Amino acid sequence: MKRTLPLALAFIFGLIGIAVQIVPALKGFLNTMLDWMAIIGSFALALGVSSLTRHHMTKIRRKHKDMFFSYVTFVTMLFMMIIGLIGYFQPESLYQRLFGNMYNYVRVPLDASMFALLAFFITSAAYRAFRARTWLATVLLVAGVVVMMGRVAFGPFMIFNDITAWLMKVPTTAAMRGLTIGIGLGIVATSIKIVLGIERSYLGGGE
Amino acid sequence: MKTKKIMIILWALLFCLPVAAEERAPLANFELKDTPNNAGEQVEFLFVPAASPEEVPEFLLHIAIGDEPVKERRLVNAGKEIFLPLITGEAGVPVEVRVEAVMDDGSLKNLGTSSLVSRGEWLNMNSMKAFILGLLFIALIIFYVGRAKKGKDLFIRKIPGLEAIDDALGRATEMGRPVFYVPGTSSMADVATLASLNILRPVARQVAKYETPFSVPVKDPIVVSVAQDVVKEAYMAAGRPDLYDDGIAYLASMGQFDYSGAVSGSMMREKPATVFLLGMFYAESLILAETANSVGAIQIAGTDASSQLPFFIAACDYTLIGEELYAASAYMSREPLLLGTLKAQDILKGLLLLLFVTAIIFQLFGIDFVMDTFLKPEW
Repeated sequence: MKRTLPLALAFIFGLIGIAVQIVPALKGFLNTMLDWMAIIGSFALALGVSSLTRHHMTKIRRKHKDMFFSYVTFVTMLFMMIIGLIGYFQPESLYQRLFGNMYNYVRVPLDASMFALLAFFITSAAYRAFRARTWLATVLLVAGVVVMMGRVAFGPFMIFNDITAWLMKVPTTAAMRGLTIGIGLGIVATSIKIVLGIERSYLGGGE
Repeated sequence: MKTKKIMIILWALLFCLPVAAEERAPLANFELKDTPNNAGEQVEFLFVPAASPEEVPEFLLHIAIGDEPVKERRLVNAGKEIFLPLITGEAGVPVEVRVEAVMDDGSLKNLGTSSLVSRGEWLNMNSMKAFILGLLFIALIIFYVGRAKKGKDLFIRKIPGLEAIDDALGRATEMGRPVFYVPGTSSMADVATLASLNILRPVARQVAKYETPFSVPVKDPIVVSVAQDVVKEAYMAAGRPDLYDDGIAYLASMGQFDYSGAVSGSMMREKPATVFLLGMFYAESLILAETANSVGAIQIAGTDASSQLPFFIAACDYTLIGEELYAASAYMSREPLLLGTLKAQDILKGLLLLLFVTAIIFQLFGIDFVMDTFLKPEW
């Protein structure tokens, strides 16, 4: 039953998913399904908080060497939860402003800082990838240099702009289209395998 | 004398004819049409102005849909064709559009009315090509699964990224350092996440067999519960349920960069020897891959996000490119059922390739038949 019910549900809803694409009258049902996804998703938030709490509680209980970070997680989570709830019931209060400020001036900059790290990571990854150790890496290096030159070309260097345009339009597009067709077929194959119950690994087991 | 009079009248009529014809020429052509391939929830109003903007600066539409009050809408005459979708909500709703021309002196001139009742279709013929292709695919799957079940050998090329999994796990075991498995940052609605969870099972089984520390930080709460089930079953299949802990697969964070921060922090502290980055990734892909590289981990990555693939190829030791991610489950389990589907996928890809080449050759000769019939989208 533990395995049969999810498989039956996957089969039924998989067929419905195909049917809504073919029978226009079922489009309304698609919206209902999407609404249900949102409802189930909101219940999953409780699952998420429970998983997070259990993970960090275990770390603290076992006196893990990094349990300090678990305390930080708990303190910040409870702090935001409490001021958020009080602020919700007392609009225009100090708590609501505090919640907004914590979000806008602590969380958002931290988020932006993580994103900003990408610039450094791109540089280090590019350095490793562009080391001309093999002929393929050399091709990558040459193409990379040409594209970089093409992006800032001026005057007599405008030839790089034309080469860049060709590189992006012809070989890159050709490779990307091949990749996209393969990915599309892979998605369809995996979906059909799941709908037909051939692929069961995501349920935990093959049998 | 009588004949002369008749001749004069005929000449006069002949000269007046163009004037009369000009007066009768429509100021605009318009038509209400049923939108094809829908359930009747929408109809289309096509409007082609015939008068110049100087003569008729704008047109006034009186739109009546079912029992709703009549709505007025002004269309500025730019001399261009206008397509107006009108939402009816369902089939069987009467729609009427009355058109008036607003003349240059401000007066209104009635141009007529167009009406219809919205009609729904049983089938969306735009999706038929995809549906037939799907049926062909299912037939191929059934055929090749049958062959595989009979014990026919199905050749599958080597995928370096998947071949390296055993070595990577062995390395982690020898070094006594943990294995990290990141199943992407998307939800269960993404097929790449499902593909990743399919790979998680054999990886978790191997990890349990080797008694290597294992960590599966997840971003989506639903994926957490599925990942916990997959890991638990894998540990049981490996005969090591004692090693299983619900904390192996856990929710690291639900925000994109919070998650990459949490996982990168864990990597820096726990120094994993092997990191799997398999599933759907967005901008955080390089943050995770580079952090794994900085702690000296072997990275096996795979995604179907074509925008993130270059980052993985540049930063990781092994990368499953696009469809290899979906083939991994069959490749690793070697189950006849899954191998059959993989073979069917390859055959379909071959057929599509053949179709593309045929279409190109036909196009070179100026024949559009193959392109129009099989490859051109209907929408």
